[in-house]
Amino acid sequence: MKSALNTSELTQNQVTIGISLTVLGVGMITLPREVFTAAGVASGWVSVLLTGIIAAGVMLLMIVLNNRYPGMSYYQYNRIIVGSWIGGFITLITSIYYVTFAAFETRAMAELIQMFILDRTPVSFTMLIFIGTAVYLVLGGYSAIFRLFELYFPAIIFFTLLIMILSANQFEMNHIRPFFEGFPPIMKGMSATVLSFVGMEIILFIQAFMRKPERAKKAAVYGIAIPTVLYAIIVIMVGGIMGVGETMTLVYPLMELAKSIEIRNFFFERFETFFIPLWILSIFTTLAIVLYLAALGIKTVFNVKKETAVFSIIPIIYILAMTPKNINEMFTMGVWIGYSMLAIGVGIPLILLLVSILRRQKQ
Amino acid sequence: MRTICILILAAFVLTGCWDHREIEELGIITGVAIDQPEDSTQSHMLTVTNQYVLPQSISSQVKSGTSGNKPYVNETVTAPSVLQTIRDQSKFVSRPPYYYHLKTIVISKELAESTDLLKLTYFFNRDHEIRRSVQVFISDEKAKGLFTITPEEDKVPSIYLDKITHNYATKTAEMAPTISLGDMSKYFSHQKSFVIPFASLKENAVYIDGGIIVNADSKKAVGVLTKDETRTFNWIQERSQGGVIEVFGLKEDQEHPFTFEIKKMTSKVKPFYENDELTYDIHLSFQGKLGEDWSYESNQFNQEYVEKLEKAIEETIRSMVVNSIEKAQKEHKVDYFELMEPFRINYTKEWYKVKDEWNQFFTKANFNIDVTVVVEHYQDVGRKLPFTP
Repeated sequence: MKSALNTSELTQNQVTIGISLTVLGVGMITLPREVFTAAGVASGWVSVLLTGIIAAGVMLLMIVLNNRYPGMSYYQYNRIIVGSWIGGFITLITSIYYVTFAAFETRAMAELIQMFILDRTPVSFTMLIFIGTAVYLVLGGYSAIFRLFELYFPAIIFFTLLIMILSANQFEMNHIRPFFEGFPPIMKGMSATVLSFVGMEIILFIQAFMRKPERAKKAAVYGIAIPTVLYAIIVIMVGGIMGVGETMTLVYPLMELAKSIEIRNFFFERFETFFIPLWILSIFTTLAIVLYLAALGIKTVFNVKKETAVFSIIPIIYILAMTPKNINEMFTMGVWIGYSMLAIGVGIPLILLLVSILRRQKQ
Repeated sequence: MRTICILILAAFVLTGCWDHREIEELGIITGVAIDQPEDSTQSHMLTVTNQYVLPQSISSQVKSGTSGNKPYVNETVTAPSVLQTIRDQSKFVSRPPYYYHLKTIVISKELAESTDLLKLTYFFNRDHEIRRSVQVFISDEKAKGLFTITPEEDKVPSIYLDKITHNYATKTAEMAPTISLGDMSKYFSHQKSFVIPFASLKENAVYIDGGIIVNADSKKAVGVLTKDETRTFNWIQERSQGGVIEVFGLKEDQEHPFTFEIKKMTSKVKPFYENDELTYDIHLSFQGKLGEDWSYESNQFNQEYVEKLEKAIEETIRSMVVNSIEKAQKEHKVDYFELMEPFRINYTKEWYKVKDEWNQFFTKANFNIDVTVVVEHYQDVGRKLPFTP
C-alpha cells in the first residue's frame, strides 16, 4: 500500500522541474550566439520554439515506449527488447555518453569560475569540489536529487527573469526587426538549438520512479515548455539588446547581458555577481542528474554496488574534463555531445520503440 | 574519530582562498586616457594614463575638511599595446590594477583620427573585469589633460566626467548622446557609423560639447559635429527631450529674439525606395512652451501671434536640419544618423545589396523634411504690456 508520505517516489511537479533543470545547463548561456550564428537573422528565436515543439513530440514518443514496459527504466527494458547482449551494450554506451556529458558540464563550470571569479584557483580544485558535491548528492538517490531541484528551481527561474527585467530598458526594437526574413534562416537556426535541448531524454529513466506514471505526458510537456520559453525569451532579449551582429562576437552572450546591466549610484553595480551562482546552480543540477544516470548504467551493466559505480566514474569524469586543451576544444566537445544525444538519446530509443512494436511486445 | 579527521581536513581544504584581495591593497582604476606618444619616433605606440583613486585621501579630506593632496594618482606608460601598458605599470606601481570600477575612457582626437578605434577598444571589450557600461569620450587636446583637473564637486576627474553625462538628454540637446564601450562594439559589429561625445578642457572644467563622427568603414574619427549638427542628430534619433531653440526675430529686420523650450519631441523617419532612388520623409514634431520673448508685440493670448511664432521656429529648425543633413552627405559623407535602420527594416532585400557601400548610397539619398512646432503654453505671463504699442 502506498502511503502519501512515501517520499521515494516522484510527483508530477518534481519530474517537470527535473526535466527543466536538466535541459537548462551550459546551453543557456551560449545559445543566443549559436542561434544567431546559424540563422544570421533576428528571427532565430522562432527556431528555439520550433525545436522545443519537436523535442516535446520526441518525448511523447519516449513515453509511449516507457508505457509498454511499466515500472521499468530504459536500462532495464532495453535488454527485453533486443536481448541482454545488445541491451547491455546500449546501456554501456549510454553510460559513456552520460560520463562525457558530466565531464563537459564540469569543465564548462570550471572555465566560467576561472574566468569570472577565481582566476588564480587551480581548475582541478574547483572541479574536484564540484564533482565531490555532485557525488554526495547522487549517493542520496534520485529522490534526494529531485527534492534539491525543487529547492533550486524557483531561484534559477527568478534570477534569469530578473536579469531580463533589469536589462529591459536597453532593449531596442530595431535590433530584432525585420521580424520575418523567410523560412531558410529559421531552419538553419534550428540545427544550432538542438544542442541546448540535451538532457530531455531523461524521461526514459525517470518515468519508472513516478508515483503516477500516467501523468508523465503532462510532466514532460511542461518540463520541456519551461526551458523552451525561457530560451526564447533569452534569445529575444539578447538579440534586442546586443543586436544580432554583436551577439555573434560574444563568447557568453547572456553573461555580457548581465554585465551590461547598470543601476547608477546603487549597490548593484556588478550585477553579474548574482548571475554566476545562478548559472553554477543550473550547471550543477544537470551534472547531478547526468552523474546519477551514468552511475545507474554502470551499476546495471556490471552488476556492482551503487557506491562502486559512482566512485569508479569520478576519475573518468575528471580526466575527460581535463582533456580539452582550450575553450574551443571545449565547445567542440559540446557540439559532439549534442550529436551523441541525437544518436544515443533519441535515435536508439526510437529504434527500440519500432522493434518493440514490430515484435508486438507488451507487458 | 572519523568525524574529527574529516573536520580537520575540511578546515585545511575549504578555508583557504586563493583569490582573496585586500580592498586597501587594490589599485582601483576609474579612468583610462589614451594618447599618441609625444615622441614622434614612437608613433606606433600608445601612451596610456591610468587614474588610480586613493580612497584614504578622499576619506581624510572629508574628515579634516581641507583639500590637501589630490585624491588620485595618474600613471602614464608608453607601450605598443594597451595590455602591455598595464603590465608595464606593475613595474613601478605598488598596487595591482583593479579595473572593475572603471568609469571612463578618454581617447585623444589626434589618436582617434589616425587609429582604428575598433582595434583600440577591442582589449577593453574582451577583458572580463571591464564592464560594457564604461563611458567613452574623445578629447580635443591631450586625453591625459582631462584627468589632471581638480573638479570642485567630485574630487576625481574620471568620476566627475562620468557624472556629467547624466545631464544628457533632459537638460540640453547640444551634447552628443553618451556612448559606452558596449555601444561602440555594437555599432562596429553592425557596420553603423556613430557619434562619440566630444570633451574639451576650459579652465578647470570639462565641457562636453558636440560630438565626433566615427565612420564605420574606416573605423576612425572623421569629423566634428557643430552645435546645430549635434542637435539635428539628437532630434532625428529622438534621443533628446529637452533643450531650447532661439529664434532671432519674426522678420529679418527685427531684433527681438525669443526662445522656445522643448518639452517633448518625436521623430518619424520613413524611407521610400523606388527606381534606385532613395527618399526619406523625416517628420519632426516638437511640443513645448515659449520661454522668453523680447519683442514688445508679445501677446500670446492672440492665437495668430502664437502661430506666427510657431512658423518662425519651424523655419529655424528646418533650416538647421536641412543644413546638417546636407553637410553629412556632402562634407562628412557618413550616415551617422543611423538612417540605415529604417531602410534595412523596410527594404531588407535591397539592403543586403548596398550594405557594404552604404555611406556612398546615403550621399545620394533625397530628404523631405517636415517640422511641426506646437507652442502649448506660455508660462505665467501671456503678454508684455497691457496695450499694443
